[in-house]
Amino acid sequence: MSDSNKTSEIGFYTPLSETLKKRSGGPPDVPIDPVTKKFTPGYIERTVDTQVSDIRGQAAFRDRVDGRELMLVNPYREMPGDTRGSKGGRDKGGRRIRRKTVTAREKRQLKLYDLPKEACRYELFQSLNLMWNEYMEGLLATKQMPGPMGLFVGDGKQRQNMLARLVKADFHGALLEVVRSKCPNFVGIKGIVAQETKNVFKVVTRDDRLVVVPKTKTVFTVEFASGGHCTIYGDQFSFRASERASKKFKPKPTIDIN
Amino acid sequence: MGKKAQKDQGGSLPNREIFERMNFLYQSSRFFATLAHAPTAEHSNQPPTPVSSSSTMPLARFYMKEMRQVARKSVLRLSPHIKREMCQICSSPLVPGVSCKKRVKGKGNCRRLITTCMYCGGQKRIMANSKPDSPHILFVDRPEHRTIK
Repeated sequence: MSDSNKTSEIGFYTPLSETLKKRSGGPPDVPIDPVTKKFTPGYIERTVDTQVSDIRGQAAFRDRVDGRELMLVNPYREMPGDTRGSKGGRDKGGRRIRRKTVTAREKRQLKLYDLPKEACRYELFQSLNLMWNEYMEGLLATKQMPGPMGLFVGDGKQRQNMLARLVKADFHGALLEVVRSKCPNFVGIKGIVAQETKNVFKVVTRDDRLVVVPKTKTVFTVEFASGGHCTIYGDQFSFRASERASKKFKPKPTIDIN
Repeated sequence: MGKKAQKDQGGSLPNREIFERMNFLYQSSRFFATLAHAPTAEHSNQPPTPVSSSSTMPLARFYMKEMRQVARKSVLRLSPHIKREMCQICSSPLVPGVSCKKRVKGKGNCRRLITTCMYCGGQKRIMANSKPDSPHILFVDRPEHRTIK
């Protein structure tokens, strides 16, 4: 009872007591210029720290604040038709917007391109390897020598032609073996290529492991079904698989892996 | 193959290797998209656990994406039949029942066949107004534009 009496005595609109002000580090007394009745110029004069900027006092207000418009709200972000970053919405004309791309965040969240563990079965990839061999046979066939043996037997000119085709070929499903590498852990890994990216081959080994092998500083061997193999120097190959199709290769100074 | 959209000059196709590559990627993608069970290898000791296409779908999607990128880099056209089987947003191969839903919506003159990708929600809408005796023939399919025999 006495409490409520007290609050009614204190009232809503009475100014803060001195103790409260000191305790909270409360709002400083707001000195208003007695002549112009304005708060801002004096406030800026007092608070602009000369260590921060070389402008002092009145000059600070005059040059930086006076007469300028300050945007407290970003009108562009809050416009009703702005659907940037939203999944679908309406544009200014009220028409429904349909997204046409997947953002990188969505790719990671939906795990669109990551292979789950149940799918890393070597048997599956053996079927893929079969298809790859057929594809290679078709690619490297010539009129004289059907099948990929044209690569190994033909004369110099024909061989150049074949090598050019190989460079543009796809290696998904190829039987890859790591022959030499700067990091000895990778040497001896043998498996079927599941994915090829700019820097890396993702390979599924016989024991159903998905191994990520970097291309740089590594030498690979690709085996064909009809025997024979060819060597790939990973440093020269560090491009996206799709880019290789239309890329002109510039040779790097060495094929040394160090 | 059906990937070409232009008339052919002689017997040779100028970008043959690239088309073969895209063809291979498309077939691999379809293979992984339509899996029902894992094939049994002779040397495997464990009983075959079925691998459904839902777990290999990321790979199928990856290959479709590669195919599209290869086409884009070499500025080659994809046949509309292939584009219709591919989600434009996430590049998933669209297999009805497995990775997409097909519904016919609308009445009368506004009938549409709507294909919705189950992974990203992206939709394709195709007009489905034509009568059974005069179906709509794609430009690519018209007899006068036959290219490869």
